[in-house]
Amino acid sequence: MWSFWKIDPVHFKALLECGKLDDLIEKIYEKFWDLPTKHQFILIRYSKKKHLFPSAELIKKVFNVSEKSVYEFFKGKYKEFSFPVASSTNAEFVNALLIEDVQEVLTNVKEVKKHLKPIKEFVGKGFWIFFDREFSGASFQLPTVLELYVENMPSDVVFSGSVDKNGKIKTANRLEEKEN
Amino acid sequence: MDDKDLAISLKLYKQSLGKQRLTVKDSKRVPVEKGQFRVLLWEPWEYIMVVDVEEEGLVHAVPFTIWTELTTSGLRLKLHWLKRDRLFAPLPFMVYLRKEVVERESLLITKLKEETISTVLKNVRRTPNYSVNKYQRSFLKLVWKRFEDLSLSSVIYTHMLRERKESEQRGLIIQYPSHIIQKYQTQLQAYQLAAMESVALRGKNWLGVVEEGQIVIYLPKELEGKKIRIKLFDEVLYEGIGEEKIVLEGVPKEYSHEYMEEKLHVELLED
Repeated sequence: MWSFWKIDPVHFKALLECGKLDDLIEKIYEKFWDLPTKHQFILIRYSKKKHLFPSAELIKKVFNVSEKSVYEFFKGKYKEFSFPVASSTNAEFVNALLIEDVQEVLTNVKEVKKHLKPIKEFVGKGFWIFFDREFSGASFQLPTVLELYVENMPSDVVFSGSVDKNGKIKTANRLEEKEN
Repeated sequence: MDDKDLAISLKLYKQSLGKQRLTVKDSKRVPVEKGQFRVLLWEPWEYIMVVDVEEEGLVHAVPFTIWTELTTSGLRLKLHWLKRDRLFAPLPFMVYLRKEVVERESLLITKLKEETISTVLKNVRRTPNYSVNKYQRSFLKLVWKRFEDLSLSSVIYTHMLRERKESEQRGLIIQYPSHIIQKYQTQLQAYQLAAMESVALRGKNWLGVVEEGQIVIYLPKELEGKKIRIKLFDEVLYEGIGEEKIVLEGVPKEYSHEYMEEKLHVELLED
């Protein structure tokens, strides 16, 4: 078996998209948490796009979620969006894949787990969100809430900011760097 | 400060010199970041301002001293630390340390503003690292000596890390033998270049991705570090230790690469 986490993310994407790993999808998901964030994002995106998933039992075990959530994950609508994040040295865009109408909340970035609850409390429903890189902070909350609320978000506008459980928008950090 | 005072300061500094280097507890270690002002728990303590942290972990820093009159810089940095205001002055050179060493042997005092960092760097660039005063000269030399070996070994270690990383990223490189095209032309003709050629390939025990003139091959972990043989048709391309990533260079572009899935074989020679 291959160490999928060692494969260059661009190559991992190409192998998936050419269908070369389809029969290994169960094995790849088994090691989901060993994969880098980028690979996890690519894998989930591929699964949703091609509707190719491992067994429900495996998803349940890997994500530690209910069986109902697994089927919601299989069937749920998904959206993609990006938003800026800035550190003291640079600013970059993070891509996100949002799966709606799921019972629980789930993400692949440990640092932002704690910021999912206020969104769930405000929108009143669960969601799964996968990012293509590690980051910290709560500025993904506003674009996520908007994606959950608005059916067709314009693609040429980006949002950044945190939101509390009452839907009150707070100031975004490092706006200047993000603008650049 | 006259020469007499400088001589006393230098003498005190020399007397305080020792070999002890304390280590910060794991739980108290703070990740090193640009702009931090830190104290190295050496004997006596030395101070650094972190200017840059390279991806491979090399820390660029400006050393500071509390023996402000013994350095050639006129810049003073006033910081409130350990319950009182203290003055620090930069030394007119940069030092290079490994990130692990800085985190293990130093404590964070404060984070400096971007403007302060720029002012210090400008001052360090403009300050001469030679002094006509023998006490200052001697002090600069002594402080540099404390950092010299560490700086040199840190730079070399980082260089080695970078080289290893580059070679790991690049993988093992093997060449596509050009005579294969002539020798197996009849078989290759069956693989005319399709309009939508797949960029990814999969053989019996390898995965491949076609890039500009080359194929990046990934071997399963069972073959990593084992003696393997790579054959294309009946030609041996490589025999040796298998690496996770192998780059096959010089791949002809005139045929579809799909024949590789059938004709490229990776064999395990020993278990």
